[in-house]
Amino acid sequence: MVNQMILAADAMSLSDKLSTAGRNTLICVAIVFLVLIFMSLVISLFKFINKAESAVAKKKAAKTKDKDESVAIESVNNAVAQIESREESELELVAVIAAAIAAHTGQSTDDFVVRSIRKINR
Amino acid sequence: MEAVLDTLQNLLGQTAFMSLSWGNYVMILVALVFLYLAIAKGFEPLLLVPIAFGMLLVNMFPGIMASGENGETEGLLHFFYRLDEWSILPSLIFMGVGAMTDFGPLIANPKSFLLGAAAQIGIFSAYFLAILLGFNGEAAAAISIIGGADGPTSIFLAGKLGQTSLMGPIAVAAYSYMSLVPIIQPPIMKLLTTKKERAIKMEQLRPVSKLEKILFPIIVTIVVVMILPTTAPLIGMLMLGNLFRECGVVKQLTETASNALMYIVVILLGTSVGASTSAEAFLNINTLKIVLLGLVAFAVGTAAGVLFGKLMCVFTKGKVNPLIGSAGVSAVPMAARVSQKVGAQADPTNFLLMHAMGPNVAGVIGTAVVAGTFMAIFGVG
Repeated sequence: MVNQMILAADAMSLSDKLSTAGRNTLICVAIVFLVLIFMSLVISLFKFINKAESAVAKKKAAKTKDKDESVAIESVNNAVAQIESREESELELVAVIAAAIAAHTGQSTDDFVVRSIRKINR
Repeated sequence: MEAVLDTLQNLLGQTAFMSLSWGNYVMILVALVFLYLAIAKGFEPLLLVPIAFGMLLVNMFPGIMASGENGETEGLLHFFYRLDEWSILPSLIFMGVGAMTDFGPLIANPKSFLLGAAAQIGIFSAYFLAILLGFNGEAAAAISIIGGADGPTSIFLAGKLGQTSLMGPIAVAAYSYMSLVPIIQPPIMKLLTTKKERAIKMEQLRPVSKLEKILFPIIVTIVVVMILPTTAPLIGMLMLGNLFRECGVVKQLTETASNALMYIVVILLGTSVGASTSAEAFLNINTLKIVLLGLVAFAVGTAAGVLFGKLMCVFTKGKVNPLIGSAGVSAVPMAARVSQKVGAQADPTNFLLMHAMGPNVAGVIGTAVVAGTFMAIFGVG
């Protein structure tokens, strides 16, 4: 019963059925090719996105390089400043210690020289 | 004593031995062979085990697929089957496929779309032949889509075109041919190409950025669904799954769509498709015709893909290996692996896999477009 229903039971002749099938086939092939060719064209434009992205990335990289250089210079300056300030604070320490020795011994600060300062762990 | 005998007689009358036909025994045997192939030989076990078990159950107890009409109780597997008829399960499988697929090779080489389109020629040849064999237009369209080597699309179209009585044979044929890709395709590919062509090495594909991969599913959906709105369930779900994967912000959804949900769907779809192969629905001349038409569709699709590949090879002055054309029949990723294997046989240092993945995923889109076109032609939404 089902088979009879499935097998075309309408009154169309075979040539009519084949011409309808041929028309449907042509329409389908045309639509499938058109849609996929159009998709192919649209997706081929993606390479420009890629190029734009790499151009932006390059620019960013160049900027980062400049930034890196300035950061490096800044950090060197900071390091120098730190060293300088450490030296300054060391000089202050020398002065304080020299004053303390002079007060303790009753000598003038010109009579002795503080050559080195060493921390003693007690 | 009489009551006991009556009860025993009733029980005996209810056993399957009393109600089964010879056809059911044949189908039980087929189911056992399928189980053997899946478990012992490893043929598509994820699909074949549930399909074969559904086949086994329905041929012992047809009530498990009872439709619930005429006052009978609806069977368990018929509830599952409703999800096939309503196109829910095929669409969910498409979402899972999208979540697992990398469209990068297609984005890097968009010409692959042409190979994906060429391989669909097999569908149309089978459609024409089906009309010649006496099927009506809708049945012929539903059968011919087997040539796309895409099980979910075949089930989807059969449901949409109202060919539910053919869904069992169509689905079994589609899934069988999907697993037979490595056996059917290579002889056709070798027949249509020279060794020199098979040994062609293709240029490396350009890298594809994350932004391109995110834009791809969105743009494909907009373009294809605007042109062919009937493709929205398949293309829409495929691209949604892919967007989950590529956008990178919904890892849980990607994980669910490509794993847990996918396998739940495979269980429901497999058992219900298997259960649609009761002896009376399966053992008839139409099944034989469908198997034959599926083979024609598949073989012609492979040949058309390879021939179009040869054409592209000529136009690009030998930069395209024609073997990647056969991957346009979908069956992701098996068809691409076959291209790789046949290419490597000609030259072991030839790596075609990534090049073949382009036409392969384009074939999935192509088959969905064909299904949408058939639906539009037959006025089905």
